[in-house]
Amino acid sequence: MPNKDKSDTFECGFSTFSDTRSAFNVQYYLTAVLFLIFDLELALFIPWAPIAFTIGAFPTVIILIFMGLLGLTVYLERTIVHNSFEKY
Amino acid sequence: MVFLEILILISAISVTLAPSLIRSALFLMVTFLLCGLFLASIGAELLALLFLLVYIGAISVLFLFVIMLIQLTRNQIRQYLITTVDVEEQTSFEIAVAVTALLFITILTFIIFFTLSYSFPISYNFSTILKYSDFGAHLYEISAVYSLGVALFVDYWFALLITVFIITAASFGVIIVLK
Repeated sequence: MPNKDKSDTFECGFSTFSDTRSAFNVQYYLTAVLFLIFDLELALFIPWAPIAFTIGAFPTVIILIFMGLLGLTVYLERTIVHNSFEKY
Repeated sequence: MVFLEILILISAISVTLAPSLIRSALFLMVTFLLCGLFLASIGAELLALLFLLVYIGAISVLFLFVIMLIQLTRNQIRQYLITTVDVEEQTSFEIAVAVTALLFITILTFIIFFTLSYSFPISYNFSTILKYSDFGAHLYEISAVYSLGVALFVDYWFALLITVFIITAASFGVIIVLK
């Protein structure tokens, strides 16, 4: 016999607390954009792997500059953005 | 191969013609998938996988997310174009189709020419393309990832460095906005 409780959607075994189409902070969206940029940067690492120790140290030097800039970005993200997320 | 290109063009034009923005984004995913298949068919496996992982896995999902976030309909955007850019409705439609077709033809031409220039470092003109129209077969002789690595880190290392700086600047921008 279908009733309201039976046809309800559940949230981790509980009845839903609120509407799922709720408003949320735009910072989450921007964090997703940051993820995209890191995704692109890490995709550029892949072609380095097969030539890493075959044609001298030059590609490794470039990838080290690469890693340095990436590390700087991660450091800034952890110090600036992470602290601002503490508020929420 | 030509069949795949025609399918890419059809789906790219469908992106502009789809009735709703969600369907446009889904057609964009189809376009990316077909572009990935095209790259796989000419022997660029890494780029094909990157199209799947980065474009469909991340960028298209982000587009869907944006469409969900700002609930604009296509008519609102069209109205905006008509009122602010001052184009007629029919003209905007034709411009959209022409721009998409041109963009994708340009991108495909670039892909074909770059692949040719990597596998055959001789001067390439139209007769060369016709002569080596089976260039996909030659690409398997050396690993595509290896040749991409040599191209990126040896031949075009300066362009790669500039790209890295641009990407870093973009992420700094996001961090500053996030702050």
